[in-house]
Amino acid sequence: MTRYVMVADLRRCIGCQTCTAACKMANGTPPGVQWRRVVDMEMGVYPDVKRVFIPTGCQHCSKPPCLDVCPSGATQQRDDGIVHIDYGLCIGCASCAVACPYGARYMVHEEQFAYGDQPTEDEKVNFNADNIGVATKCNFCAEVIDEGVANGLTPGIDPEATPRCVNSCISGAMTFGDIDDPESNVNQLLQSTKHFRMKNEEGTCPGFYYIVDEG
Amino acid sequence: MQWGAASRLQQFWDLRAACNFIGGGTGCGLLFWAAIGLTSGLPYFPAALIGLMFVGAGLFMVWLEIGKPWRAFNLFFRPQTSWMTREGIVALPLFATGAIAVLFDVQVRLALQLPSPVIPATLTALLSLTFLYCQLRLINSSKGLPAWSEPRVMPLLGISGLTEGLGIYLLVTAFLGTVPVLLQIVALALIIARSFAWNAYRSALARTDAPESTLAVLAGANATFLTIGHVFPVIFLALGFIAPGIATPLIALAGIAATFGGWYLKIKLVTKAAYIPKFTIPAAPVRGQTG
Repeated sequence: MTRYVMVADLRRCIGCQTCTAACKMANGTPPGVQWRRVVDMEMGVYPDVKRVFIPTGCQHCSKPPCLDVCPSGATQQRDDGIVHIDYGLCIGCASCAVACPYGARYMVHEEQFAYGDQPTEDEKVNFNADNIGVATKCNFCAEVIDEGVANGLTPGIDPEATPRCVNSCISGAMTFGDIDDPESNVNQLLQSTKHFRMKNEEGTCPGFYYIVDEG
Repeated sequence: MQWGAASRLQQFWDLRAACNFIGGGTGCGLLFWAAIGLTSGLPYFPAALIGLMFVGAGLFMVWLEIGKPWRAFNLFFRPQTSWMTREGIVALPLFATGAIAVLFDVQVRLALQLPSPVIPATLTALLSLTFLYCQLRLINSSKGLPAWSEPRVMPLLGISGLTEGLGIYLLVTAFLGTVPVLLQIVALALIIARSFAWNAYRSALARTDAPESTLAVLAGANATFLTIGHVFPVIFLALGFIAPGIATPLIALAGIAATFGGWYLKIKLVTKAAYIPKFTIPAAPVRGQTG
């Protein structure tokens, strides 16, 4: 079996938001919608304070709360673990959005562009009108992965088969791969480091790991 | 502060969604009490019709809320797991049996020589309780929001629905004639039960990692909710016992207050108290190792 996961090395992330920009550009998401987001957090108590950057978004949970509540069947889970939305089925009830503990889902009800009423050149190409009035979220660039795999490439290794946020990361903080493959990049990385999963106590089994220290 | 580093109020469900829970709770409660009243010889038609209108209005508000209203039929596609689907499925026979029961009510029955409405009214009452249960599970399945995912929200809203329904039923029966003492006693019991459910809900929520903003909103709503929804109706009902001459308008006022209290609670719970908790990480990253 294949189970795709994302690994974010918080030791490396510098909060540059390049992943956010790459995602927005590739998917033509409206203003305020960030399928890949970097949370800028403070930790500790003055004067011992640290700034932490946490790339976040849909965690592609093994047990996604958004899946069961969806009344239309628009939210679906693939065999490789990717949770995605069939925008043609979604009725925009937002049940999934209030079920997601990660706040990873977005809804906009009217067309909006980054600069005024007219789309930019990128938005002309990438903006998807089907995403208006429905719940939207990260899908791990499933179309890129599928095309890459069909061409014999390895997601997480070959850029042509890897999510754009990972390809764009300038500090190498983000890694993508198949956690069910013992030899995979993500498995090697996780075996040698201390890591956690966000809000895993909710029973969601997220497919998004955060590295904080050496193993 | 940026969302994630701080909790965030959900803005996906607004007053229209709150109206669904208001309409569903009040309408289903009313249909239930109307069926109970029917067995005691009280008029069924007006209360049941109003109950169906409440449920219908709530569903209409949801229809206005969804982003793709012309795809609303798609909500029937996942009965295996979705309480919203189940709510929609139950609504269909609820309206069918409700309409039959209303049609079979005494006045019409006598005129058209139709059978007794007791069976369809009983079915409607059972379906209305099922509909209400679906709504409770629906809101409780919102795992992203501690204010809704706390299990004690279900008894609170369930009791509130029955209380709101009885509140309107008191109003209707007061308008039509005499309100049986037993109904007033049941109303008192429900009002007291709701106040206990409210305290149990808030106490349970305070023991979780619920955002402080959620707890603060609920604490801020406490006095208004208890005063409008509990103190006022209890005073009105008590005065009604003391002064039977003006009992009817006092009972009607008690019903209105008990109902408004429940509506206030639902509006607060849906539109003001539902915060998504911030992110927390177990340890700060140790930098300088991967260089």
